[in-house]
Amino acid sequence: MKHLIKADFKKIMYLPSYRYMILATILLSIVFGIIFLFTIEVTQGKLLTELSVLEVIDITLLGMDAAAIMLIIFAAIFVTKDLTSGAVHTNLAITPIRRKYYLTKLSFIAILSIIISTALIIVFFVFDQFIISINQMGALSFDSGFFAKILGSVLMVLFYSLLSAAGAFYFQSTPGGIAFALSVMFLPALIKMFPDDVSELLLSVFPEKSLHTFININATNSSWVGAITVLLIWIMLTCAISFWRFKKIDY
Amino acid sequence: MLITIILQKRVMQLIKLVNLTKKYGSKTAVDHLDLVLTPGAVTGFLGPNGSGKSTTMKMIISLVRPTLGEVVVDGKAYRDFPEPIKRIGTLIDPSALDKNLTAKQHLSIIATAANINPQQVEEMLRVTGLENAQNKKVKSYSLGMKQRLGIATALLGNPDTVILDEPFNGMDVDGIKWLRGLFKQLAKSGKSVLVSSHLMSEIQAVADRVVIIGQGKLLAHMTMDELKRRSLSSFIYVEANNLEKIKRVLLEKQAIVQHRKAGLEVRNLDAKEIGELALENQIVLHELTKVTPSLEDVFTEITDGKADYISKEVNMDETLN
Ligand SMILES: Nc1ncnc2c1ncn2[C@@H]1O[C@H](COP(=O)(O)OP(=O)(O)OP(=O)(O)O)[C@@H](O)[C@H]1O
Ligand SMILES: [Mg+2]
Repeated sequence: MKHLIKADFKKIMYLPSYRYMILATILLSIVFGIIFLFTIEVTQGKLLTELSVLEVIDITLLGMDAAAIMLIIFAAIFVTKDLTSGAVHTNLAITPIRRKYYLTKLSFIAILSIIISTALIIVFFVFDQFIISINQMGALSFDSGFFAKILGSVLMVLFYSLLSAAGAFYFQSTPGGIAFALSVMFLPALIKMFPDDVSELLLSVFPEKSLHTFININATNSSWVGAITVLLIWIMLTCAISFWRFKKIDY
Repeated sequence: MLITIILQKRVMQLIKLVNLTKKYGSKTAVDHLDLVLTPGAVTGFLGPNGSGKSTTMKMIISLVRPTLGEVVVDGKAYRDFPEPIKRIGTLIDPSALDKNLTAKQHLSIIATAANINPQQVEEMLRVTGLENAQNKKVKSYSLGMKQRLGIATALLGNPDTVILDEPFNGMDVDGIKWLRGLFKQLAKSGKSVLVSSHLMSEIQAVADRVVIIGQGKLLAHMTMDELKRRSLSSFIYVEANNLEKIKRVLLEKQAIVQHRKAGLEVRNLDAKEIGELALENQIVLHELTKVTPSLEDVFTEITDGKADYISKEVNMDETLN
């Protein structure tokens, strides 16, 4: 499996379209994060200097949402391209065990997501430190709230890119994978329009709330363990269903 | 003696199709196929369009799951080998690759994935004559060049068995010549080659054996020599006003008689003898022709659904053990 993942990395090195997409993911996320921070006066009516240190971090980390969306697209393209362009014959001849093939692809997407989101976090961190120090906003405390935010951001990117990959395996199509992951991402926003008691119930089923447990320091109503459980159930259920479908397909 | 047998077993890979069946809905693509591929030989896999050649090949490498039956490679399923492409190399679809890669990149990715020595990549580019085009993107390749790249992919793991689906498609005269030479070379180095085609002419010069299928069923499995002998055995074609009567008369004279179209296929008697017999028995002949079928004719005839051409193959297990 090590060799297979290495081969996937080779593929993104060789193919300009993948390279550009990853570059675009990183640049776009950084640009979004910075724009959010500098437009805070317009969007929230606060001056940059009025923000707390943790709020600065919080706002730039919104750039991670852009990364998640870009990686949703990337994961779906990456998975389906190897399944539909016909390359599937060669790929499955090398790895005829479907379970192994599936796990390799998901592992690759997971590793790539973690690398990209970690790189982004480092960039944001350095940038925020710079902003904080030139505005003399005080020191950043490396407490559990801070680390929870960072972990939450990485988890979010990882979670949605895996959902997209699993969706792509299930639908055997790029739009299928993207649409699935984006629906899971944006449905909670729609659900919030329902009456409170209904939406409360539905929202606790969706992963968004669990992800926010990490990112939003004010969230108290749901525990870490509960949040992780919800995310794990989502990933395991989606993967199980999409693998079951993939296993039965004749190419 | 024992040692040679053991050595032989080590090199010679045995692929057995056991009651292999694939149904797509109500359509049976492959129908209870029983077959042992002869190791170390070039086997031509013939059949008309849609007869199930590709499906059979895909089932050998676990791309398609059989509805019934199984394929056994040296006692195991293909997918149970830790490094399967070092056992069986396949070309199923020459356009089965990312067209934005160069030939070299494509092979290099596969070599990495399958843990194959990178030197093999250079070697295969050389063998398939793609050296000069190795850094061009595959999308600029002609069909023939893609076939070559597909063959390079199939050979990359230096497998014991090479399975190629219609490799002659899109090949020019030079390519066909090269391919034939390659098959002979592979067989000489002890590899088994299974090559499919729907044209007898493409493979008759290279195949040691032929397997013919039609509508997913095995119609014939014989050596090329057997097939040639069959084509050489000419016969007299007879049509007459009273077919049953002349049949009886001919059979009395020890002729071998088979029904064919609207008449009879007669062996063991020549045209003159048949004509005289007809006159003696007051039968009016409508046609009396000497027929020498070509290999293509034999093939067409077999695939026309004549089941009496099935020749059962010797069990290779017994030969090897
Ligand atoms: N995925 C599929 N779904 C439904 N039917 C299929 C599928 N694949 C093949 N078939 C059918 O199975 C039959 C055998 O197809 P196959 O491709 O194996 O034939 P073939 O001998 O390779 O033909 P050709 O010479 O045209 O390549 C055909 O009737 C085809 O329509
Ligand atoms: Mg075919």
